[in-house]
Amino acid sequence: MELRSYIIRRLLLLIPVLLGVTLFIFGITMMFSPTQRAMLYVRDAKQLADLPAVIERYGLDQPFVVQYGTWLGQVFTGNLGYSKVVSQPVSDAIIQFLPATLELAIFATPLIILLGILLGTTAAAHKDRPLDHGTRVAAILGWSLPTFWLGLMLLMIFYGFLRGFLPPGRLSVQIDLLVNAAPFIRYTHINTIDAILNLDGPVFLDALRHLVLPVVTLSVVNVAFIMRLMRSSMLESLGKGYILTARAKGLAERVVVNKHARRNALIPVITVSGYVFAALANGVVITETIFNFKGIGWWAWQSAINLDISSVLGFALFNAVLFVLVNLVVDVLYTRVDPRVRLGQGVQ
Amino acid sequence: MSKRLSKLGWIVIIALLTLALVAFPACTQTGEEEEEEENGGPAIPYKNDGIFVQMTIGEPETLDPAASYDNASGEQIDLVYETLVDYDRGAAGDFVGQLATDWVWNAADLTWTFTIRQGVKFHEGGDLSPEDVEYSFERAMIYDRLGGPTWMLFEPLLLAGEYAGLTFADVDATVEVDGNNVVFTLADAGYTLIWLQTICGGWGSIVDKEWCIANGEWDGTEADIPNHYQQEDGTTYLWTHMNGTGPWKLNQWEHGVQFKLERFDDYWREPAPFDFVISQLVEEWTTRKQALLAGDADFVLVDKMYIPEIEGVADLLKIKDLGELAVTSMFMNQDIETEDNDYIGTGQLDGNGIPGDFFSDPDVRKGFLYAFDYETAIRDIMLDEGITPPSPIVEGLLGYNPDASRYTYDLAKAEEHLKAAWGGQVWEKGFKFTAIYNSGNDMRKAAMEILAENLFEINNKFQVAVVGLPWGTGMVPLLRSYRLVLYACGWGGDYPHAHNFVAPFMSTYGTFSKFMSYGSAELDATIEAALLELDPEEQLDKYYELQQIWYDDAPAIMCWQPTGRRWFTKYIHGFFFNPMIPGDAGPLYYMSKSAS
Repeated sequence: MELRSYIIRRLLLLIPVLLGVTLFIFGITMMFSPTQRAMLYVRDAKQLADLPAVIERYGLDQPFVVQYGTWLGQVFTGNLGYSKVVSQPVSDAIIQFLPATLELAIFATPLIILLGILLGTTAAAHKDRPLDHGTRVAAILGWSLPTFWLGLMLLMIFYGFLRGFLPPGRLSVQIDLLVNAAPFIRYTHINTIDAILNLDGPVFLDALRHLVLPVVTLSVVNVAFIMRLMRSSMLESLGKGYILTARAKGLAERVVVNKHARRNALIPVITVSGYVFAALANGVVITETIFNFKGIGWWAWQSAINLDISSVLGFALFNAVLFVLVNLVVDVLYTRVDPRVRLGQGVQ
Repeated sequence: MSKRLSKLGWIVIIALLTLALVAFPACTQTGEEEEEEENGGPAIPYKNDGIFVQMTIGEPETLDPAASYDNASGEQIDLVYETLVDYDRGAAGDFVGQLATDWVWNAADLTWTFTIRQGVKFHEGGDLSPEDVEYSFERAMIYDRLGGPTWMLFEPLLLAGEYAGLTFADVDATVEVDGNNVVFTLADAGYTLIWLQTICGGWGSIVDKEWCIANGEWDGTEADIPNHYQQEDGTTYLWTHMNGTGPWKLNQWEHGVQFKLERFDDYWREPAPFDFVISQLVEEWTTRKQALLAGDADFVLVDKMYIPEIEGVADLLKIKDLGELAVTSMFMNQDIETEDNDYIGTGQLDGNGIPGDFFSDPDVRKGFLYAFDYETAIRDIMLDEGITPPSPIVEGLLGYNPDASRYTYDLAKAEEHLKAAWGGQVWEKGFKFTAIYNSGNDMRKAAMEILAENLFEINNKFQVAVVGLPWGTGMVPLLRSYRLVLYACGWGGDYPHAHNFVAPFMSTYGTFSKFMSYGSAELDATIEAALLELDPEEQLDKYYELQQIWYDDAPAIMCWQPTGRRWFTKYIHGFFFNPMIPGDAGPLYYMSKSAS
């Protein structure tokens, strides 16, 4: 199948996916009574008297079909609704919060994958030896650590104990004022990328300094998964006949492991890596909250706990699109890593 | 060794080294002189000269003064917009002029006349005029945002609670321009003081009429009212844009992250003391605390439970015993809806439940009031940061009676009343029900548990389960359907007048009294009489009388009136307390920051 038609087919698949996801979420929110949903507009006991009027004003007592239809109609006109929790249109909220999350994902994903591959390869190459056991224990520890605990510990040590060494937030106060004023141009709102595009070293370093702790937190927690996957995939590869042939030819073990076995062992890791990126880009609530690195995960969490239905639906749409696109990219990557794979047909 | 490393290994090592290189200079980047304090840990470095940074937990809901009714929004509005008059520092009944230079009361025709200050500029360049003042109040009233603060304007001006039922002519007649003056006509002389207090709030902010109209707001005509009456949230231009006359102007609102104000250079008074005021939304306490200790924040919100963590830090400015105009109570519903109610057990006085009118017997209520350990609550829950008010008229309000009768913790008296309740049936059979607090509020939970344990101690047939429910999705629907049995809730003042506390607690239409089925036409008349009384002595007597009625009726347990604290770095100066200033950081225009 041609690449273009494959991509079009996958993108068309988005339509039923989006309809299904939003119908499902809308259905769940309808299980709450109009009064419960109206509480989004009433923050204080003092405003309770206006609850019936709020329900009427926003049509919260309308039938499910009417409310969903109204929302869908708005979406078709490009209006995703209003996010009450952050007082701005949903589309603006996505645009505002996505760069922070993307920045985390952009830095954390390669680190997670590279470390995972490296440790997985090393563990497989030293199967049942101390190095293997050591990496396994480290992996289990990393995987088991509660994110909030690890994050708080890192924060207390590297920010608190070391006196502001690696601070939370996305930028320092002074730098933040700088990037939001001329002549600095915010091309992407991803601070490190914008700093590079503006050729601004201090901003780049400051942004990087703020990224260290959240990226390390995410990496420690997630690297174990890739590592274990890589290890088992490597062990499978190392047992194959062509590895025996390579060794019989007298190739150095380093070459056998790194060139022959690892390349073939990477295929499952690519799939999972796509999901790791998607999961990170989808928002990491605890990390974003602890390090005050407000991204899309924080926003989605706030929306969910406040029953901000427009925001939750907007996030769901974003999420569905993200996962479909990531799947698409992973599929295309397969064909590059393994020439036997054909789009839409599997392994030939 | 290097021969054994693959390319990938080198990439990882280089990546880690890069991180270390980035981090290392940061270690020495502060450039601040650090000195070790003898006690309380290392010194907090001085950072961000000319910038006030606060970390708190409230995101503004709106920047529209006519819509704002939450503390976080009010705080930003207070820094950007100005009102005609303001409280004179901490006083509740003394005022200083802001956009008015003079204000005169005329008892004969019930008018307040304000002379408007000349030479005041809005941030966008417009000049302040009396027409702006008239427009600001009229706009607030015709907009009448659902759940908004405008009821406070309607009551003194029109004896109404909302725009519905009124005409534009009604509203228009209440505020008129007369040369350089603006004249407000009140509905009753009893509102004379309340009016001044009311317009000190953010809802009394003055906006630029021309700028508003140019940006699609109400055009000032009756014909345009339908387009703006109760507009949907988020749809007014002023919801996200600001143009006031205050010392700071809006720099950037990064929703959910931070709110930045910058100094307004054409301000009519002395320039603001800070170039920037930055309010960051930081929900995580550890992050706020570390930022304060690192000098990255000048002020952070400290919840009571975390006070011990920073109590010993020597390098902080700690201000204590600030009497907040707020109160937390436990309300007893005297007419509980029994149908589909999971919180009253069997719904009978049979030892496994309670009937809907369980609390209608005064002996039950008084038994409960005597069973609550007020001192323990203040000491253990509030960490000695609070006092026990005798009634809704809390300390600091006009009308507060320090010698008012009050309930104290007395299990013998509690037993006496509970033995008498329901002709002795309560004592004999016992009761079982569920008390509700809003989940997450551990202080209210602890207060309820104190009550429940004491009741059980009196008689082990008295069983109260304490359950937390989410405020919006759990408690409110139950409250509105009268299904809550005993619930904890709090109230914060809109203006420092007893009426603002008596009405919600004691009137038939009150926010709390309504949902505990408390109040009567007679009591409403007494409340109104107190409000409209012109003689200060007589008015004081009437509020004292209301406090006695509260004591006699015993409708709710007054748990505590908080006394707040503030925590700044030692570089912040000039704080004074006024409970009516929205937000916690205080009167920033009068404050400063310096390394000295």
